[in-house]
Amino acid sequence: MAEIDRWSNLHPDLLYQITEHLYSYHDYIRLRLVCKEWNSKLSSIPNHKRNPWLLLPGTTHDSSLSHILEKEQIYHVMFPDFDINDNLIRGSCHGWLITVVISEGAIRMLNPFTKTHIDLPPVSTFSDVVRYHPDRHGDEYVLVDLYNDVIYNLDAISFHKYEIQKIVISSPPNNDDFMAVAIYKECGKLAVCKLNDKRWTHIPTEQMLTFFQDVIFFQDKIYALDDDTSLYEFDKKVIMDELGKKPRPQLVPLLTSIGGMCEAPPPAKLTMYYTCSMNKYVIGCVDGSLLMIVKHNDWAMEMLHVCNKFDVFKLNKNSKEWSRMHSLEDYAVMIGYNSSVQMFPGKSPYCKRNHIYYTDNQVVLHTLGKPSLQDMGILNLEDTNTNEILPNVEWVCPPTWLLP
Amino acid sequence: MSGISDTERMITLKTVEGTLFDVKSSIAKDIKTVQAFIDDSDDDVTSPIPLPNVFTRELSRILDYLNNHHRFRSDIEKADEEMARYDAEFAKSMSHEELKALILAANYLNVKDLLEFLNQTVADVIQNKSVEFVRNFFGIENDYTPEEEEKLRNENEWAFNGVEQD
Repeated sequence: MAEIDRWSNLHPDLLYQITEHLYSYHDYIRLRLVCKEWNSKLSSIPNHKRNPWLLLPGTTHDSSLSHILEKEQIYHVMFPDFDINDNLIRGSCHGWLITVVISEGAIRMLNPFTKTHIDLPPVSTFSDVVRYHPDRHGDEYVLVDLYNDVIYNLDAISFHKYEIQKIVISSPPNNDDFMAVAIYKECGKLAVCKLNDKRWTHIPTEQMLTFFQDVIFFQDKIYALDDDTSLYEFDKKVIMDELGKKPRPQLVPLLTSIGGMCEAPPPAKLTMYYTCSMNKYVIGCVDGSLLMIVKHNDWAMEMLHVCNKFDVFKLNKNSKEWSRMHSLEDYAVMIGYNSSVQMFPGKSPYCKRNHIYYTDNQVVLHTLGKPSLQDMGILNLEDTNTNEILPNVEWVCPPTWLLP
Repeated sequence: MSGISDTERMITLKTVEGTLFDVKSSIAKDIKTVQAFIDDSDDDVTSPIPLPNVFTRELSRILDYLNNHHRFRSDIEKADEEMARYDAEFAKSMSHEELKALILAANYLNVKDLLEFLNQTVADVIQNKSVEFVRNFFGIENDYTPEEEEKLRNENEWAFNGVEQD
């Protein structure tokens, strides 16, 4: 008996050390299920060994890839009802993919491991939709411009393709406090929903002209990053309470700004073009701090003589200032359509410290319906060397990081 | 070189059962708990150092491992290859019970490289195995109710597909 007790009451440090050697998240999940004691000692999301998977949609029969990638690293998943020509991936979080089904306007959460899916409220339930006539072919939507209240019509396919920029979720959908946040409209507004909600609820901001580029759930808060690098914070529970009220409020309380960029990358605010030529991501760190990553596209690097593809900043919450970082230290980050995250790679052969793992998430580029090249790769911040991922392959449905 | 090691200072370790082991001070350096004991002592340690948590069987294997690794490291050319071969044999020769006992001993003695190696061996053993297998391996009793376990499994259903049969 003494021997048994020694193991179930194992010092957490030794248990963590063992988990650092595990091969997969699957092994980790099973270790957590051994007993209650271990379940409480091991957090649901380990800080290490969370190997990112790169989802390559529609490549099952594409022989062009098999000689580029090592076979044992490819894990094929069949989705019986998943048509890559009819789905736009707009999120990836907690092992789930979030897609917009173009033909129906459904917003669907898919789990590639269990092959289950759950629908969130459809695209037709966002606040800019005045009326939706599914039978009025080519003129299905009556929409309102949220800036100037102008009313206009749009066909369903175009609307379904362009309405959603990104969707993040707070947890797997079986959690009671599950919540999803969408960045919608070309002008980057925020909306929120719970599971089984009938529609999305708009989140207003103090300023009219916000253009959200990224949003994350982090430590019971929602953080949204504006195009001008202002960061907004909101308490998840406050929004949850509002959503639970009857009658449902039209608007939830205002988001408030907690930090603006002070030490901006020098040319950041020079031109609108420049602002448009970068993607921005906000990331919650293990130590509780927040990072911002700015990714410059090739055009900006060439025309505006930007040397680094990525700029990394850390927010000082007290002074509300971003300061530039030159290293991610022991961590890696994954950015793209997925919820932007930081990972602790440990000794994983597939994930390295101080590297940025990036996929492309330029909505406009991905909605033309034609296969396109993707700006994907792995950048080492140490020497700024980049390993591009499949730079010559054209994708109908862009690859996305899948995070367990 | 061998002349130096012949005259090297020896440290005596004493297991739970009272068995005495003479260890070269260069080997003792890798046993951090022992080294800390030596560093804390004002005078030269001449009497045996008691190890109240370590049994003879485990200490003898740990010393075996350390002695061999020291020997490999002295021959840089073949070190990696021979060490890998030795480690593979060492891992194979352990029963699950021995492996677990060695981990506890290596953890107590704070022998970092060996502990890393043993933890890796555990990861190898439980890779792609069912929860029941892992419980058996560690000898831990399932304290979930069937309902609780079912709920947790449903939350992580995909982690249970494709596990090896025990």
